[in-house]
Amino acid sequence: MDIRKVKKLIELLEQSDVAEIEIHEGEESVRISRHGSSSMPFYMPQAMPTAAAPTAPTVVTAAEPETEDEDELLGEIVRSPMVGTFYRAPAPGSKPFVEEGQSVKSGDTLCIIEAMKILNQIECEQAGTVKRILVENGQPVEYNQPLFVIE
Amino acid sequence: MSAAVEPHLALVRMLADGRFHSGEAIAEHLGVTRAAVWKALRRAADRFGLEVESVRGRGYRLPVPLELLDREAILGAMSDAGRNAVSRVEIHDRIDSTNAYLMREAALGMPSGVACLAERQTAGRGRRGRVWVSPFGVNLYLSLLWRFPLAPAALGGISLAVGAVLADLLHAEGVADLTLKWPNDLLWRRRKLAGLLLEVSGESQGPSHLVVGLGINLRMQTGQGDEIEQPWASLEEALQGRPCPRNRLAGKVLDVLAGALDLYGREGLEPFAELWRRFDGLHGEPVRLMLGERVVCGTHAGIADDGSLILETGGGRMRFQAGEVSLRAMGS
Repeated sequence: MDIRKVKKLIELLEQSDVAEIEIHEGEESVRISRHGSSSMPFYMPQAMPTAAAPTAPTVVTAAEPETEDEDELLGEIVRSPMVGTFYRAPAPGSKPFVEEGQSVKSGDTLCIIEAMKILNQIECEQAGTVKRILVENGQPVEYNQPLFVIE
Repeated sequence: MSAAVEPHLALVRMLADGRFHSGEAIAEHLGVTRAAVWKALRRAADRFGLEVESVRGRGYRLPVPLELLDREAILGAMSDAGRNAVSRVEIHDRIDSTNAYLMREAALGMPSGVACLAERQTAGRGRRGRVWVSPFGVNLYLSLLWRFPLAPAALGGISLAVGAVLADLLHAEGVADLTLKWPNDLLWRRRKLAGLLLEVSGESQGPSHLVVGLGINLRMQTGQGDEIEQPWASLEEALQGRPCPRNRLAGKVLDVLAGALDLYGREGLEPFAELWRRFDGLHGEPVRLMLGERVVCGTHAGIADDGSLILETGGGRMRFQAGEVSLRAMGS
């Protein structure tokens, strides 16, 4: 597909409220989304402007651990993939999924984030030790907010 | 005969028709002595929470007949498209929770499109540890597993999509005065008729899997619903005499759920938004939104394109992805 056409489509998308557009031309197709792989971004109006929700991976390695506050950022930060409510346990009164100091492996559930009344199990994507839990149980979380530090 | 394996269940199946069965016939059916029949009846009644009536000279019966779950009847009520989309229908006599079961199995690789129904849940759940009261044989407890290439964050609108198609189905079955409360509570005359529990797990950028769990009160009696902490209604009451066979309803529910999940995976919430708005019971009403310890008061202004709730507040128009909505008396 003509790159100028793609550029034009991106401009069109930016000027509209449309989050994603997909064009098929013969055997070629192009899909342009302003929110990465998520076609339906979640945001609070006061937290983030509509047009600019960035695509950020959930797990981000702290860039320069030596220069950062060691206690804060040495390790992997698990961020919230959505706006919602943070829960550390499957139900009120039951045992939390993880505690600080606990070792975790890939696929373990770290917490639940409830958004739109859907309970999202947030899984650990890398093995390690839970160094810090950064949010209190039952608190609202924003998109991309750091939740855990895993070392 | 299966009686040896599950004598209580074989007994319940025999009595499900609501007719009288003599002690002799039951003894023969179960392969036990007549003296053991009474004991078996008591145990079955206990185990399944059923009332068994006994009349001298006529035998035993269930005063309220049961339509037990039947895979063939469920599949028979589904469309061809639904039968293709639902890869398997599992029926359990008892289970901890149909949702918990599918979430466990999904983590072990169960394929998309498996449905699980149970006569009874021993640990039926609502959101956040709330109990979903689940007596034997009288309601519908049904969950469906679906896999998506999408990220979990892209599945939020499903909450409203499934609420909308179920409201539409129950309306088509003859329930008048049915409304939706954001995002997906199904209410009849402001009393809870059905509840949904949606659980998602997946990688942050996808793929992900979703389990939609539905509980519909079909004809739970007052005594059985005593533990429920909010006003509730049964479908039998809401249908006001129109019949709604349990297996047929289960088939129709699976049909619309599978259709909705498939369409959402391709087109998102957009095709469902109008349908949702048609059942919006609080549009324009003064409402209160409880957000943990925070309370926001405003006028219900419907849903945004992503399914979030819009409130007109003193501080302007605001959108919310969480919270409990309730009607607020004027002036409060």
